[in-house]
Amino acid sequence: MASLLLAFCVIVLPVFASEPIPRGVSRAKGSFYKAGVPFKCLDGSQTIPFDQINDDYCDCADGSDEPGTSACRNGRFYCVNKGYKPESIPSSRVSDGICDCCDGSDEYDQKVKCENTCIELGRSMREEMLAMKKLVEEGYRIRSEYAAQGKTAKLEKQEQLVSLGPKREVLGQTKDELMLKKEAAEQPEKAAKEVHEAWWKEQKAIREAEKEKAKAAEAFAQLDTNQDNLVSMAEMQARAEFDTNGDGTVSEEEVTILLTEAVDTMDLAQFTDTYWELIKKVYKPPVVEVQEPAPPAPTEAVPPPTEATTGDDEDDDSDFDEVNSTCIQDDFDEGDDDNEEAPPPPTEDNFMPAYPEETQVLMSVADAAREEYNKAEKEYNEVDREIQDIEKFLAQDLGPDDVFYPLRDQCYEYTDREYTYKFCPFEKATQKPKDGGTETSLGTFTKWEANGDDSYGSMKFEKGLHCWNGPDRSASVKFMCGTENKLANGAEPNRCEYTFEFTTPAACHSLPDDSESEQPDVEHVHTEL
Amino acid sequence: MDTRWVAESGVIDLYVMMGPSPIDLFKQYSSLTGTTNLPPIFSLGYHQSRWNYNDEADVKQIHDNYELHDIPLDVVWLDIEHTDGKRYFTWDGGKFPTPHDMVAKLKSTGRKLVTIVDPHIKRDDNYHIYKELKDKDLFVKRDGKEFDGWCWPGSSSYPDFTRADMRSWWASKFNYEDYKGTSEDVYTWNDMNEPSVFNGPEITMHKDAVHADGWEHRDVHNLYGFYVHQATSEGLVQRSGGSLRPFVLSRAFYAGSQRHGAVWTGDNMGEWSHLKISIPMILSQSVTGITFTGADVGGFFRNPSAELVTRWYQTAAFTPFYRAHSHLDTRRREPWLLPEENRNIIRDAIITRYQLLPYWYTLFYVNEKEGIPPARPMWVEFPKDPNGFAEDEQFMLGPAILVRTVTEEGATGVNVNFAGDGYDVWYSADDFRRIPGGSKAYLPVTLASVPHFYRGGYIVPRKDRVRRSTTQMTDDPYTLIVALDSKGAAEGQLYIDDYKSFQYRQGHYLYRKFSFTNSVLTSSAIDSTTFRTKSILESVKIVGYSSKPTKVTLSSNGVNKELSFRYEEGTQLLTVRKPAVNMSDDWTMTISTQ
Repeated sequence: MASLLLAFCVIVLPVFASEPIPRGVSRAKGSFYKAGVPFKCLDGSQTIPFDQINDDYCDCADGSDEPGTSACRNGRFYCVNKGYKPESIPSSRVSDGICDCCDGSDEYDQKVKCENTCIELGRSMREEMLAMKKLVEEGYRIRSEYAAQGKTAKLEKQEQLVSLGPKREVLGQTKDELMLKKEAAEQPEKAAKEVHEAWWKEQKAIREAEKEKAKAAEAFAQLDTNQDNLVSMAEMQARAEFDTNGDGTVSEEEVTILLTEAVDTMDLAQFTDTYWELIKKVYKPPVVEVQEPAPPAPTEAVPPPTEATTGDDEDDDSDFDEVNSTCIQDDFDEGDDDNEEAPPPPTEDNFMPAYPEETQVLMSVADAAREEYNKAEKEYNEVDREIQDIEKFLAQDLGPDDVFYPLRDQCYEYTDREYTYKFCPFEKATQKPKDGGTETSLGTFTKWEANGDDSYGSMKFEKGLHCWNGPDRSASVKFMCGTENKLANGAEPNRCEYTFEFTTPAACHSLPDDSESEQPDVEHVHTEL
Repeated sequence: MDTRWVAESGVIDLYVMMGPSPIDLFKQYSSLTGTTNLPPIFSLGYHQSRWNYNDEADVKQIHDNYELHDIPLDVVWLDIEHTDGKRYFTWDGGKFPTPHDMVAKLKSTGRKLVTIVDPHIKRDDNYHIYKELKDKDLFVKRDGKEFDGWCWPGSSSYPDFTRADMRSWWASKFNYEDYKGTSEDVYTWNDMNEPSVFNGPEITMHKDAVHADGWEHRDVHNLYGFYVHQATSEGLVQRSGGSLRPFVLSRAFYAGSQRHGAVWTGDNMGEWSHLKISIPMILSQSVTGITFTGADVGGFFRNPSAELVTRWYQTAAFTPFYRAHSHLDTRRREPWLLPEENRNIIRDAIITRYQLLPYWYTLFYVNEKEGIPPARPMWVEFPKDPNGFAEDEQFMLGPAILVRTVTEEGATGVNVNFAGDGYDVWYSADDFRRIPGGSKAYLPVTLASVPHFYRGGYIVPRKDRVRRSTTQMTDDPYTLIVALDSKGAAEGQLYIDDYKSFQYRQGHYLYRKFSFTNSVLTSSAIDSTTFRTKSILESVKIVGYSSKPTKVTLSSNGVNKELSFRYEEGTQLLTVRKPAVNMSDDWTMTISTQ
């Protein structure tokens, strides 16, 4: 049986070749297999009789004696695939019942019937190659346009940089000069304003003291029920508000504690200077009758009802900075008053009077200097930002010949079953559910990554939204040659690690090489017995 | 010895098995609980799983990469995400629109698909499985209502697998016309069948849930997963009209679950300690009858290093169920994604597994017949060697192979206990170096080392050719490894059948015995059977043959022929070239030294 098999499989007679080549051996290696001559394993490990080649038993450690059978675990079988391209497959696939070679030569024992599909495959391969060639040509043409655009843009920017540099310098000088001018004008302005404000502060303190004195006098008059110009212990005890322990009566002790000492009587001077400060926290002025017009502000000893409007910082000293040369009407809340009266007009009491004329002159001089400076600063900043943008642009890696220039500031979308993915080259990648919802960051652009020899093989996006129980989202966009810019084939091979393919003319690096070895084998015709 | 036993409910029946040998114990125990049915051979090959291969393109990519990198593979697995919203027996139509085409693609290279079918049923009246079960009132109850538990699909109900009518209904759902997209190349994985109830006590079903005839869950908990496995397995038998063997992997199991298929050690971690402990776990299951078992290669959780993944592939090549699997949150780690060195070593490990499949298959045949597990603790084969009693790092694959693969990070060597006494002999599988029994040795290792040893006195059948999957190996020729003992003798068996059907139960198989004594190797039938194989004997490697022969002759069917051979003095390895005799035949091979 073995010898029968041998007769069947070793004799291979290529029509145009002078010597038979054993099954599964390529023409290139054919010379190592000389009919009738002992075969030296290609690794040199041993020499075997010629009839042990392809005898379905593995003799050579490198598998070189059994290229046409599955006997060796590391052998290779060469399919000629006439009409298509030759292929080298693992020899373990010889006679395994699966047609691997388009010429069916790997299933020579006919365990399965393999159709010869090489002619058809060759035709479609040539068509594909032709189509690919056209595509690459067209892509390469567009790529050249991209490169030209990139070159123009870079040149333009470089030129802009040349003119913007000196401009910024001049603007910088102007700005610095105006800064000095501004400072010179602000110094006297500040001093003059401070004088006026200090005076106003003093005035306010005086007015406050007077107001307080008037309040004390009024209270004194109220308390001095017998009008003997003295407020006595008895008169104090007559007032319900001094019942601090709430037992219904005002004891001498309560009054004494309030006044911090035992006092029989107080005259107006004593009352005002010594005791009013203690009494006013507890004292309740008489209720104003309804039909009477609103009392003037000074009578309001207890402020709570108006706190909402006046309790802010308006009366504080810090307020002075904001007060300009004229009195500023506080924005009284209209809805605050139950009656429909207009808000009270500003009184001198509340607002600082205008700065004196000479101070106002200083202020308008300073205002003018400030305005001038601000304008200069703005102009400078604009130019500065422009320069920075250009420098950033020029520093960006736009690929060989700057071909990726037209992809800047563009975004491309790809929609699969569930999501719409957005890819903005040099910027970001995002994901959004198809039926609405929020956009999720898949990362911001960090770097180019190589793909084989192509150092601009893919764009890497990192530090996207963190995945629960996983890493930060990231994406890798592989660049492939195509005539249009198109995002495709989104996948998530690892949790929260996305991959995409992006076809773009910018990735059409070179014209296809016609002289490749992937040419259909047309010359080699062989027959097997 | 004192032991104490507690049960949740019911009374304990105690069986005492008298042995006296471990092999006797297996026979006695399996007479009570049954044995592992001979699995279809593809299921002893290598399985590639992940939670999840996302869509049909992803499955194709897995297939194509195994082809490209020429790594044997038999099965691709689909976890829960392949379904329409965790409705088992359905497909996510967006991701898997053409399951038949996908399976056809796998089948074109002889490969299979496994899909997951869990027993928690999404409570959705538009889901035919739920609707039918509800209408037939076949769900487990609690407080008089359908038990409602939380699992992958959300609110779920649980079919009452303790009911025979429920189980036959379930089995019928695996008919090819019912479970659309499936065919005889699609097999099944039952997960979460303890059952898992995310919001239940100890993440399982409430003890007071009620099954058929008023039995509370506490009474039948251990049986639930067993019955899921059984019903599924029966479904897979019935769908082929009873002709093809089933393959069902189950996470839950119980005494007797071996009758219904394989189990695995559950959701492990990609850590060295979990690789190490997988050995005693698998051995513990093996000695309790659950013999078709394995651990997820690489570990389910975490991201293991390339070294750990590599060592795991090497170890698991010698454990019964050989499947790589990983969690949704882990990085992918299929062999071609690892550095080239690791990838090649993993390929070699998988090839070693496939080469030993004839031995594995024979061990599983013996397992079905006699209850003896393929993976055995040392004490099974060496009951008199006390060194083996607490041994967790090495074990026996059948009677003939000692396995001590590397399970330590950065290992530069392993300690091996070469069991037995002065009469025993071991041979290193990589170079056939002879090592005396009853010795301990520290053996240096590299990343490529997979220390395992042939035991003198045994003959191991192999198929040394590398193929894409077991399908292409059917008619491949055999190599016999004849490892001689100190008296120059050896013996072994080989079981062959059609590898997939039940016809072997009608005598359609080959069971051969090889014995080597006095320089004569003979092949004879153990059982008289009708089956013939196309496979021939390709090579015989006689290990430990002490002198150079002058002539080797084969005698078969009355014909004598002289065979060529090679003899290596250093390793005392005699390789007989191409006996080319059919494995079905009786023959005698005689070695002459004068």
